[in-house]
Amino acid sequence: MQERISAMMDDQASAQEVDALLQQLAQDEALGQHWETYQLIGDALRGQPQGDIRARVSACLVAEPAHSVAVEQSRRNRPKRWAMSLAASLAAIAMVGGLALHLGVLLPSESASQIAVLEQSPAAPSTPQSMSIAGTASVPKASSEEPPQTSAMQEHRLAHEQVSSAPMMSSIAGYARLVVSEGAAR
Amino acid sequence: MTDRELDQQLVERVQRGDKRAFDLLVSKYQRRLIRLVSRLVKDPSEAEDVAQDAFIRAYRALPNFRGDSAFYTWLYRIGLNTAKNHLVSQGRKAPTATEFSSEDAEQRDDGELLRDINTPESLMMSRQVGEAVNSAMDSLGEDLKTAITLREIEGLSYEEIASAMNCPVGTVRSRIFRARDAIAARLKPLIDSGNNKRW
Repeated sequence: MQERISAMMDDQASAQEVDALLQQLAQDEALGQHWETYQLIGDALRGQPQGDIRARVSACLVAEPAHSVAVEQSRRNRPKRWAMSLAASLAAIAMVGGLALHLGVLLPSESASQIAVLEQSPAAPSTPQSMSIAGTASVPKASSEEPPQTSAMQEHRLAHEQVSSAPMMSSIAGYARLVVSEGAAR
Repeated sequence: MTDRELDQQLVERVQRGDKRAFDLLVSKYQRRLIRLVSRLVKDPSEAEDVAQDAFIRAYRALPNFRGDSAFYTWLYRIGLNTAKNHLVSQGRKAPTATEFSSEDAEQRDDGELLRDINTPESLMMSRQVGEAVNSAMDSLGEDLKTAITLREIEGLSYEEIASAMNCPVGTVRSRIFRARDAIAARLKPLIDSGNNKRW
């Protein structure tokens, strides 16, 4: 048994062994003395100054109430911080990704239809009709007069986002729209 | 299971109502805490009182200990704050963070510290314990002496010691235990006479 205590002090015991040993240490005062002596030996070899206040501390703790099980259980039942962070990160990624995907599905199809219309009338690439069809989409063929308009819209949108009181969601959505829009322009 | 995990197990036992587990933590850390407190509180008997107070505070605060840091790191802060509060309550100036760093606490010369913090009684006991341990170490076989030295002084793991001594880990475990047991036998008369005494 003493050898197992010695090994436990040196990180050489499994969780189950430690649990069983601590249970025995809690019940057997003589066994606890071995723990105390081994600690003393280690401290003496490392040149720690000697002193023993264990008995005094123990005497003071007699008057203290034992802690309750509820404390431990509530601690264990509380979700881990890293798990909550991970969940929040995944939710944010899913939201941004979903928005981007949603907008990405809409915009390319609009652009594709606009391009198709333009290709059907190659003889009049700069007619007012083709310009109006192109609208605000950034189709290269019809974009000679578009950049100022798109840029102005984006500036307006960004300015709006900056003063908007809605914090995270609208900012992300606006950014996603902007990125998709710029992507379509390329 | 690592040292930190072992401490956490002990903490959780205390949190479940096992006061004896707190005794084991006190046994383990009392000398380090006294040494820490002695950096600020120069009077040896005062330092022991402050360390005792720090352990009581730690016990009371233990339900709030979540294990985000190692137990000793947490206890260290309590010890430091208790020592500073003690100095302030005595109308003495507590050192600032820049005057007293953790490096100071852990790295000051031990010989100087031993002279500083030992009461005549504990100084005598320190000498007796030191002599008994040294005498026991001298009587150990070379293998046992090397194994316990590499573990306790050099801080090597069993695997590293096995590699250094070219033997199985199980042999290292056995050698370290036998060394401890032999030294403990030499210390037993001192421990028995020191029980229920302040030393």
